[in-house]
Amino acid sequence: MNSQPARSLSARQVALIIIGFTIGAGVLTLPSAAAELMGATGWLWVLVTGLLFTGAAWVAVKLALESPGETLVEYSQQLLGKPLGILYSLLLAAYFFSFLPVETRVLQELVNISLLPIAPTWFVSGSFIFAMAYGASRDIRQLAQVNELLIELALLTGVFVTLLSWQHFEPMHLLPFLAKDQLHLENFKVGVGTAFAYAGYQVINLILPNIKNPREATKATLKALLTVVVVYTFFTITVIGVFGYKETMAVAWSGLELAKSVNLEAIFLERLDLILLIAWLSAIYTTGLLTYYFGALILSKIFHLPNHALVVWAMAPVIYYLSTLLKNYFTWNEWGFYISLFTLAVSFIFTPFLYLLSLLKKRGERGR
Amino acid sequence: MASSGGRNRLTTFFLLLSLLFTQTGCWGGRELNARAFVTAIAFDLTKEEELQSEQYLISIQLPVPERMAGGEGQGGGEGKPFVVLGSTAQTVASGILQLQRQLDRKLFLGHTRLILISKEVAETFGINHVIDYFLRDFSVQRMARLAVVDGKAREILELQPPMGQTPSTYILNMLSPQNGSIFTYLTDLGKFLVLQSDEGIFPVLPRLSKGKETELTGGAAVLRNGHFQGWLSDNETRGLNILHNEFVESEYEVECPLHPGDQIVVGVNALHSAYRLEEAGGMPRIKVMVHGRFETREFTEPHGPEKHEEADLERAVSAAIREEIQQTIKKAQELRVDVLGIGRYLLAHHPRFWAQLDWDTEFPFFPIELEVKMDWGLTIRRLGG
Amino acid sequence: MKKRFRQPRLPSELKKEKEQKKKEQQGEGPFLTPELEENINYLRETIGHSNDVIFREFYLKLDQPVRAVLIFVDGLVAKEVINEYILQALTTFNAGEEDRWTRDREELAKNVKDHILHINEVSLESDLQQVITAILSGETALLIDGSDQALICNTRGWEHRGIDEPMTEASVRGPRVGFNEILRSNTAQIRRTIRDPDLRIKTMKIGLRSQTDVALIYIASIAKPEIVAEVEKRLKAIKIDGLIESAYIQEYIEDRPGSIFPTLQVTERVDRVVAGLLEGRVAVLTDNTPFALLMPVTFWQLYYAAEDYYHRWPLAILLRFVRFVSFFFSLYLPGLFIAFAVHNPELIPFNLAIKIAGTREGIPFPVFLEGLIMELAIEIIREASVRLPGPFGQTIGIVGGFILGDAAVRAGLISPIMTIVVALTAISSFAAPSFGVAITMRLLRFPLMLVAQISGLYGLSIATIILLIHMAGIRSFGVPYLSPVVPLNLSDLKDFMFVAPRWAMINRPLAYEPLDLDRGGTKARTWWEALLKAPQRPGKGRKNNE
Repeated sequence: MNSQPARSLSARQVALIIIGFTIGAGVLTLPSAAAELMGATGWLWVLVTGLLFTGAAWVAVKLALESPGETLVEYSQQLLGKPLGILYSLLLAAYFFSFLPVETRVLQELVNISLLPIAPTWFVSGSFIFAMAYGASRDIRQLAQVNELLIELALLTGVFVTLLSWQHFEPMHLLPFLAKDQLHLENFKVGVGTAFAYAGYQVINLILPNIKNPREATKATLKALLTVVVVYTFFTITVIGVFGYKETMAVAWSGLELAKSVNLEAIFLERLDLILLIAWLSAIYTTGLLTYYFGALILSKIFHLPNHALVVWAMAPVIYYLSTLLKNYFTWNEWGFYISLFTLAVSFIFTPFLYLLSLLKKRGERGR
Repeated sequence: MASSGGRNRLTTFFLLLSLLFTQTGCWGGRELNARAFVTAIAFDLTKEEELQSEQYLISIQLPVPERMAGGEGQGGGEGKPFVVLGSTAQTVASGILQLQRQLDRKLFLGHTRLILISKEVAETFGINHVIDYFLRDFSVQRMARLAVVDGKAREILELQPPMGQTPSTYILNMLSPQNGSIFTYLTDLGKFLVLQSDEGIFPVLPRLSKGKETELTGGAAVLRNGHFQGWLSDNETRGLNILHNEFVESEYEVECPLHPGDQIVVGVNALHSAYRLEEAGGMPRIKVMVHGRFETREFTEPHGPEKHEEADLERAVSAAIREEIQQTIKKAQELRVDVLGIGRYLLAHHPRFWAQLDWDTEFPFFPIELEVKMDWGLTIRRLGG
Repeated sequence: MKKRFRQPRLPSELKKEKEQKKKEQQGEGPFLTPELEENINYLRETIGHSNDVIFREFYLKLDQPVRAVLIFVDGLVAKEVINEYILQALTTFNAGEEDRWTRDREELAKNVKDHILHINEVSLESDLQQVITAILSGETALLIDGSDQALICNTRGWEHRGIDEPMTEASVRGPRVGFNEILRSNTAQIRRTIRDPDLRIKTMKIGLRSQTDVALIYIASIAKPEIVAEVEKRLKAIKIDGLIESAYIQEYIEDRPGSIFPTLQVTERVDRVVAGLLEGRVAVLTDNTPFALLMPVTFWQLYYAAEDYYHRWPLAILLRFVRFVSFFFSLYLPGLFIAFAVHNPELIPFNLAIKIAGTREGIPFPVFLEGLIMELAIEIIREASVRLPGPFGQTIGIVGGFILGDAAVRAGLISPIMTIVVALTAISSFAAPSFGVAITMRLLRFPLMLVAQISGLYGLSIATIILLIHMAGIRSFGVPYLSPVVPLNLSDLKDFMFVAPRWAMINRPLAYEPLDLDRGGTKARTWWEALLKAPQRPGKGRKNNE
């Protein structure tokens, strides 16, 4: 089960894994956060932070390419020494696993308010965690295929619904450009929180040994990140353009509200929001699946376990328990804030630092 | 190994499934015939004599599925295809709870497409007080249509439509583009919310009133922070539609400039309006520019379209439309509510100027210059008289 | 390792006994002796107890008469062949002076074969077990006194069904030949279609007792050698007493025996097998059954009909589209209906919802039970109509379906809309060109209905995701089951939902990693460009054409 089929993923699949990892629970709330920060120009925030993260991703790929046959777990130990390296890997695993309760809880909330009004929490969360664990216990090839299908489906549906809502688009909602009284950049928590939507490209440091041609990794990562940035920006522009920034801040799930206002007389289905919800469910599923898999992979590598599936199934009750701790919208936003903080630290401190270390080490070797 | 592992897992899966089945039936699941579809909701003030503080009358319309299914030879085909129930309450939620107590089926708001509010409720409680519940209930669509009723809202629910099956479908169609009447202001819950949250513009809602035999649409209710301020007449609503660029096509009657006493009916389409901030004599003013095309539809005297009357006719049509729009602008300024969206235009395009303004106090006196220019785009079938 | 759980674990003694038996049967048994009497006795002892085994003794007229015997099974042999070309030749032969070879008793058998017998396929065999197998498969053994080798003459000829139109895979256009039960005739049909020297037909015998002929067929210069080797390895590993249908082989060699998805393609159409071979796939034909196995296979391929390639491509696209829709319906329609009706009626238009609610008024069963009853009824009708002979079957289908459904609706037991849903589902599942995958969909439908009843659209989505994970894990002889969709393979998408014209399918499907990628169509339509460049004389040209 643990067989890591070496060099079996195409560049396209890797790009889709990064996209699938990145696009998840964050996307639905991103426009309201952006509107809160920059008002009618909120899309600019999304674009700029996205580009920053693309830069961070580029550093991460560079680091990964320094030792293309190994994962972060191995080379962090070489670079930092064994105890520190293991600590960093553990932190990273904890970081990956910390996504899961949030994703589960957000999904459960959305399913309960729309698709299945009175279903008990344990059923919705439980079945979702089961489905994630079932997938995460497979090998990376299988995961990549499932992810490929689901994320494409989710993106297509999402873009389709977003395009349809342009019938209500009002260009004046995007103006004025950078009005002073609409800028609330001092809103530190909200600003950091948007990093949650960009977490995910870190997997490149873990799957590089599986890519058919490691040289394509840089291009694939950048492509993936840019796709995410374009999708996010387009989505934010649409939401703010349709709703105006004030209404955007007022709605909790802007994407779903967007779908709710689309009128499609000709189609059999009356409501697109539930269809979008199902598409988004697959997007959030891919995020959960991949975080789960890679978290378990790190743990099994640290402890030299023969089988990552063991970790996967052992973690399932833990994740369920943690998800019940997230009481409501405010609690998981708080949780999301800390995840975002760590994302920022990984992206702009740890990874560049490791890259510097590896460069220095290389120079040292050459000097000798 | 792989396959046998898969088998075990599959077995576990099915075991879990069967466990689920023994655990429960279906959560929140309800057969279609165990649901009561609420198609429309109406809000009225309670009658004067039993008026308590802060209470209003909630009426809902429920279709009766057997009578709607339309199968012949089935029993129960008699009677109206819908029922209307009502209850007084202080909040919408408690009203719905009370209505639920009158019914053996679960009230279901997923298909609610019509929310009618009487003018009195809009005056005393405000729209927001009433619709808040619908914004928070996930099953209600943003496409639900809102309207303010001139008279009793409940009476409209109980009216038998001339065509079609339920009044709600009938009214819904009256308030949707399907109806094609240009005197109606088209909006829905979503658009209302967006306009309400936008700075520099106030939303209006379409007016419904009871005619001699059927409902009448046309006109609009002007609201300020959800509270009713006054009506726009049919023609003023048409003017508003032009200013909002939601104008599709309509007809105007003008007097023929060359043959006094002769009426010409022109069809107007392709109207486009735009605002511009400009300076006139050191004072800022808004210039509203409307361009469009018309064609002649009907002549009361026996003469046809003639080349030499072109300029005069264009001037006359422009003047007629100008007068109508002018009336809309005047009414809005009289009501002190900027339904035109001029404030929103200023905020978007002249944010610095906007920052100096206190728009609410300045709007009623702000100079607005109107320029209408219509072209005679002729599609001809008959030249002579 | 893989097969262990299928094989009943025998006590060690039984196992030993069996191994011994197997050893004997695999050619380490007794050999022929030069003494004819001994050989005949041995054969009489082993197969002579049955009346249909005939021992015909006679004398060969050489310089002195030599005793010989013909042994064959009545009914399996073509008697005229034995009479005219073996017996007559042997008994009327008179050795003259010039026939010096007649004195060479050592090489007598070989010489008889070379000089007397008028039979095209003769071989020498010294292993008695092999001789017995040959006799039992319809060949005639000629034993000559003094020779320790038997002559095995191919005299096979038995009553069999002629070549017929395939029953399970009918088509509007395309060859109307299917396989029959005779392996040789089937391989011949393939040969007749592909006259390629690289077409390899490897025959082996499988089945400890039945000794069934199984042919492994592939085109050596196209099929990936690893796949061929894998198939051969798995075939050779089969241990079974009797092989009656290719389904037995299927169960032994498929990749995921636990899955309900078939990982082999079953067909009785010659053209389909040939097309498969040309794509670089491997076919396994089994004696005594018209059903051939094709491998590897992708999931989508099970929804392609042979006919898709015989129509012009626009029609083929429509056919594929219809079939994918029918796939979706046959799997999801009842589940979706239940999910909509029970959990999410806000998703269907108001007028439809109210119609359904109206027709459901007074129906005694919940939607789920209603659906289950109807689905079961349909399954029963289907099964009954298959079992009944010919025209009765059709009648039962119509009468059962029509009258039962109508009566149930009239009696108010079932709502008419549910009847529509169930009927549409049933018809959709018939549209699948492969029987195996249609059964899979039928099986999956019931759990999906249950899931929809419990948890609506959410449950359906989760179940779909789990199904997808399962399917993504399946590999058919190394080929990903969901290919070319995932992993995406743009070149192979030419033959998916969209069917490219034949000349545009330049490559064989990459999924099977063929040795020779080029179908040869690269330059096939260059004349077309020349035609476009040529000066046109429309009036004249048209006239000439007409």
